[in-house]
Amino acid sequence: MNPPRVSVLRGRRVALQVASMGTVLMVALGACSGDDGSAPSSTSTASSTTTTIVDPAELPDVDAAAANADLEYLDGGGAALLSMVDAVERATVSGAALDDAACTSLFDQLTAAGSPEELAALIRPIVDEVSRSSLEATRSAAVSLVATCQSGDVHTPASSGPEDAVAQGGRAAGLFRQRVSQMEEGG
Amino acid sequence: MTLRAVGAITAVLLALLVSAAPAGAQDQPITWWALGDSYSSGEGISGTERPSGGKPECARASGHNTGAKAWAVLARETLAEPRISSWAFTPCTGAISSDVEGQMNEAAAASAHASADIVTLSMGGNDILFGDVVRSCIDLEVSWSSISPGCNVGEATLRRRIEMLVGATPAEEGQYTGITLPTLYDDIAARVRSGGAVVVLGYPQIIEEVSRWDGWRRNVIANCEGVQSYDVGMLRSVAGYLNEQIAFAVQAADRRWSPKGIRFYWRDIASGVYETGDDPAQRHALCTEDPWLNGTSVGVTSGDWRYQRSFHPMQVGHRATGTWLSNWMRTDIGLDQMARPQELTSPSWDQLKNAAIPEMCTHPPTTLVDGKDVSLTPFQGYFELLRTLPNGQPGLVQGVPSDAGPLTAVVVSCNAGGVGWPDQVMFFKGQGEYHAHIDLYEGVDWEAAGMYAPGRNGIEGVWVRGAELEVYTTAELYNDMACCPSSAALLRMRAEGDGVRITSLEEDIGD
Repeated sequence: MNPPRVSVLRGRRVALQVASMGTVLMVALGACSGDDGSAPSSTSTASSTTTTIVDPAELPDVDAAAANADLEYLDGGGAALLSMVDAVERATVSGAALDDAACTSLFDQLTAAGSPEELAALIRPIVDEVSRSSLEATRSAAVSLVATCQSGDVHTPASSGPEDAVAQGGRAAGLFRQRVSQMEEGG
Repeated sequence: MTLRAVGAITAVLLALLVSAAPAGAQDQPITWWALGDSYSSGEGISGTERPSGGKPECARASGHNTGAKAWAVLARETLAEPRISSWAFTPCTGAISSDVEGQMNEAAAASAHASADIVTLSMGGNDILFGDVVRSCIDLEVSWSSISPGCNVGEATLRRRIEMLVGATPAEEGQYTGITLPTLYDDIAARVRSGGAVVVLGYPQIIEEVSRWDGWRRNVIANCEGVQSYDVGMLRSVAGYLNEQIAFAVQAADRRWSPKGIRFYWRDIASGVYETGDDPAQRHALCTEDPWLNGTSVGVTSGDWRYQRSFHPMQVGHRATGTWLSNWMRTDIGLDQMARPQELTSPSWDQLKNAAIPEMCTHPPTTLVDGKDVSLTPFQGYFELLRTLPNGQPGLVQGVPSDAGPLTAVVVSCNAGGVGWPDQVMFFKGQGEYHAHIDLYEGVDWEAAGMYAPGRNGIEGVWVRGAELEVYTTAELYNDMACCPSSAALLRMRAEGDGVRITSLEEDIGD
């Protein structure tokens, strides 16, 4: 039964419309630039329902069978992944560093969604490469964001690398949303 | 019956006679032990079997009752060498260097041979806990309460562990638990027959360079299979260093064991198989267009998922490795010599020790007595066949192939007064008659090989490999004093007609 699945995903996406638009702003301001035109800042557009993080022409084609399987999974056993994406989007919507309230909210939402290990296990069955990779990156960003909160220094990413978890989380979650939209529309 | 028909029947009969001739029938079976860790066992291939009684994490793509075949299985199949009739496949997921002794014992039982002619393996990655490090990189914490993003071990620590692996740094508790590679290689060599070969494979890079990722991955999500882009450089650098240090250890083992007729070979699958060039079609790490390794999701949909399969080569990678390796093995590891029958018909020491020999070392022709020229006074120097070399290795080798039949080669030590000369090698045939000799100083173009001369009395080993005699000797470089050669060389020579031809000379740098 497809209709309930689609309605659930669309419902969640509409609820996150504000967050997605915030993501566009953040991406435009904070994303690193690429040398092949794939940087979000040069390709992002905003509409009332979708956010384009990457020019779809630069992404692998959507395989219909994989899309169907993934959408069905996200509507069922993998639903916690949407909660994770939701949590990261809310935390990164402003593009600013997290304050205490945002940290607490993020922690609670992620804990409800599942541990990092459990979420990794939920990501594995995703067939579509872009969806799986963007979920992995969202999960990694969530880890970095929580670590930042736990370090007590909300202004400096706690990760060992130079990547800004806020920016990365916003981009990764945005790409996931874009891909889901693409899959729902059949490529 | 026509003449043509008679001719045809005769030809068929002749063909049958030729095919029934004992060519190869006397060959010794070659024994191959495939050992190693998960990169040898085929952990990344769906459908691996678990050996009974083995560790729970042990998985093997042996090809038994399954299509899952690791590179060693495929290399053997591709070689299609009937003389490799004895075989054991005992690598294991999670194996460290100190597990290899057990793998060899299992292989000995499985192959019904106490020693091997060919040993292949990859080993070292688990000793430095590389798998645990990669696992840490993808943040699989069980709670959000205590989080440490990215790899939990830095490059400096991993490099130090690698130095412990190769014995360059003492092992530190909690950092390293295995034995060192030099010890491992010596343990293996002790169970390899003379003329045999130990082939050590390295590891592939598991993740493509970030700069080569697709734009959406590089610029937007900065993540490959859960590994953050900022950790990729470190992982690649460590893998490169691991391969480099294993290569050095293999080359050192080759120097130790070549004089005893056992060769060690390093085969770099990172550059030889998985990343052979800059073209995207030549690159097969994760996050390339055509990855030959698993990400973290392999086997999920088929129900064959286990975490250990992650970051390991899948079947296509093993097939490419097996083909690449077999092409090299066919020509480079001396299968003919391994299969050579033990019974030799060339002259024994007793047959040649009193041979008549021509002028050598400025000494006139003479007849030897127990291998020595007893006619010489101390002022005239000396001449002696060395049945045993000063280092205890054999100086006499039987069964050197030639078109005059099997020969016996003996190292000669001689001079014309004063210090000893560079060694010579003398060949005997039949019932002990002199056949030919070669002066390693006069008869070899050392300059062309970037060296000056062989060391005085410098031969440290002689053995037969294939159709050739191989001689391992110390070697002088241009700035060396004559007393003190600083290098070594491997000479290959072939007995042809009435003489001996040098076929190659190379400074010994291992593989």
